[in-house]
Amino acid sequence: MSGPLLEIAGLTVDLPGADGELRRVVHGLDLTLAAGERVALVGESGSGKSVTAAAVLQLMTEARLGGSIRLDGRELLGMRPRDLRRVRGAEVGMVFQDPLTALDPVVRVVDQVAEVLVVHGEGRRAARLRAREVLDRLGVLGRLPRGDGYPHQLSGGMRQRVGIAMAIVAGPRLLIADEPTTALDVRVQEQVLTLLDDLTRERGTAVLLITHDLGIVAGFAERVAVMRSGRLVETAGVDQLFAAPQADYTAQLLAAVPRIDADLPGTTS
Amino acid sequence: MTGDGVTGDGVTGDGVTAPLLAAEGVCYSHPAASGTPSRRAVDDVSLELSAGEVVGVVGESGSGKSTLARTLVRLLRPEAGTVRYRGEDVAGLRGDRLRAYRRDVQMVFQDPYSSLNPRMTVEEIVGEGLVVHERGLDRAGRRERSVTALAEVGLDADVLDRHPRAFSGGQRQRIAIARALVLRPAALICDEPVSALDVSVQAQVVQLLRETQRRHDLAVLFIAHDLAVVRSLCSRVAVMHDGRVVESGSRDAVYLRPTQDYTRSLLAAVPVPDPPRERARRAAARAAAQAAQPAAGGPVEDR
Repeated sequence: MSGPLLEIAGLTVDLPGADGELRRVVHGLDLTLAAGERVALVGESGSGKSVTAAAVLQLMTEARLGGSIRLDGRELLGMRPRDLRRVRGAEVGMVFQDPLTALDPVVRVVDQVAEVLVVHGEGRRAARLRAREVLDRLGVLGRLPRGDGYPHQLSGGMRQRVGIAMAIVAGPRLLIADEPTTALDVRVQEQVLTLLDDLTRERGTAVLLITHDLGIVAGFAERVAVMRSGRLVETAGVDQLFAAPQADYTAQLLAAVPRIDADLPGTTS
Repeated sequence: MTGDGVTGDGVTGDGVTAPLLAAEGVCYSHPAASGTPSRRAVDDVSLELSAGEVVGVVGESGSGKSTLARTLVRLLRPEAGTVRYRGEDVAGLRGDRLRAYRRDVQMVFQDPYSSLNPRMTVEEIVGEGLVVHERGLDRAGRRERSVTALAEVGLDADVLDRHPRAFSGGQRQRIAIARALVLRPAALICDEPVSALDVSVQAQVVQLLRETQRRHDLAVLFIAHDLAVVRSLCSRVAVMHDGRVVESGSRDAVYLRPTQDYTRSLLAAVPVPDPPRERARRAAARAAAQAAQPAAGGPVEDR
C-alpha cells in the first residue's frame, strides 16, 4: 500500500449563483489524506470548505467540477453513477451538520442504518444485526422503546449518532464529517466527538473533518488545512499550525477565537 | 433557590444604586402542545442588572435563557414573579412610564437575517424607534441621529438607503445594534448576538459591544451558550439549567471556582484552541466519563 487514500488535485467547483450564472467557489485545491489520517479542513462561511467536502462524493447536482479526486488511485470525477453509488457509504461515509437531512422521518432507525448495507448487497437479516450492533455501540438503542423507533423520538445528539452509524456501518475507509457537532450543545458535542474519535480509531478510518471550530480541531486533527475564499491558505501539522501559523489569515483566525482558558485580568466592574 | 440571584460578590462598585432591571422569582411556561405536559421554561428566576454593568447568562438550548430575556423586555408576561425597571413592576407601567421603559431597555436578537425587516431601508430601520420615542424630531433630525448611531457601530452614512440584503451577517448585527443605540438606552438585552457570526466577525462585534458599553456606561445582559465569549465580556455570570439559575456570581467565581456540578460539567466540555491542552482535556474527560459509566457509549445526559 503506497500513495494517499484520498488525493484531491487542482479541484475547481463552479456553482450557479442567484442569476443562474456559474461562479467559481473553489479555485484549484490540492489536498491529500493518508489511510487512517485525521485532517481538519477549516474556514469561515463562504470559504468553500463544505463545497469541497460535498465535491468528493459529488453530492451537488448543480455543480460543475474540475480537476481530479482520486480514492486509492481511482478517479472519482467522471465516474459512472452506479460506480459512484458503490463508493458512497461503502468506501466513503458522510456525516452532515443537521442529522435530519440525512434521516428519513418515516423509516425506523434500525432499518435506516441497515439500508446502507442492503444497498451494498448485504442480506436484510444480517444487515439489521450489524445495524443494531453499531447503534448499540453508539448508545442509541437504549434510548429507543423496545430497541427501535423513529428519528423524532430521539434528541439532536442521538440523531447525530444515528447519522454516524449510517456513515460508518458499511466500514468505509474515509469518513467526511461536515460540521458534525455544530448544532449540538457543548456537553453533547463532547460525547459525539468522543464516539466519532473512538470508532474511527478502532476501525482505522481516515477522517476529513470540516469545521469552523478551532477548539475541536485542536483535539481531533493531526493535520489542518485552512481555506479562505475557495483557496487553501495553509496546510500544516496541528501543533505547528497553532504554535506558529505561517499565513497571516491563520494567525488572525486563531487570535479571534475566544478562549475559556485565557489569562484574564481581574474581574472588571 | 435564594432570591438574591446574581447580586453581589463585592463587584457592584462603589454606588449602592438600585438595580436598573430586576427579575424577582420570575416563572414562565410556554403554551403546551396538546397531549404534552407543560414544563416551566423559566422557573423562579431572580436576577439583577445594575446601571453600567455587564452580566452574562449562559446555558444550553432549552435552559430558558431566551425566554427569560423576553420577560425582561415585556415581550412575554411572567405567570408568577415580577420584572422591575428602576424599582417599578413593568406589568403595571402605562403611558410615559411604559414608553420610557421601552426606550431605555433595548433588545438585540441572535439572527440578524430575520430581525431586520427586508423591505425597509437602513434609515427606516434605525430611525423607526425615534418616530415613536422622539416625536419632536423631524425626518432630518431622525436622519442625523441615525447617522450618528451608525457611525458608532462603524458604518458610513451611505448605507442609509440600502436594504438589509445588501449586508453581511456582521454588518446586519451592527445595524441591529445601531437601531438599539439610536434611542440612547440604559440597557441592552442581547440574546445570542454573535452566535450566528463567523469567529473573526464575532470578535469584532464583541469588541464593538465592549466599547459601546464603556462609552455610554450601558447595562448589558449578554445571553449566550458560548462560555468563552461570556467570559471575555461579562463581569458577573448566571448559569441557567432547566429554567433555573443554578449558579451565579462574579466571572472569576463562576469560571475559576464553580460550586455546582452542572457548571463544572459545562466548563469541562468547552474545547480549547491549543492542541496539547485540548488533547489533555479530552483525555481527562474521557477518563472521567469511563469512571462514571462503565457501560461503553452510555450517554450522560442529552435532551
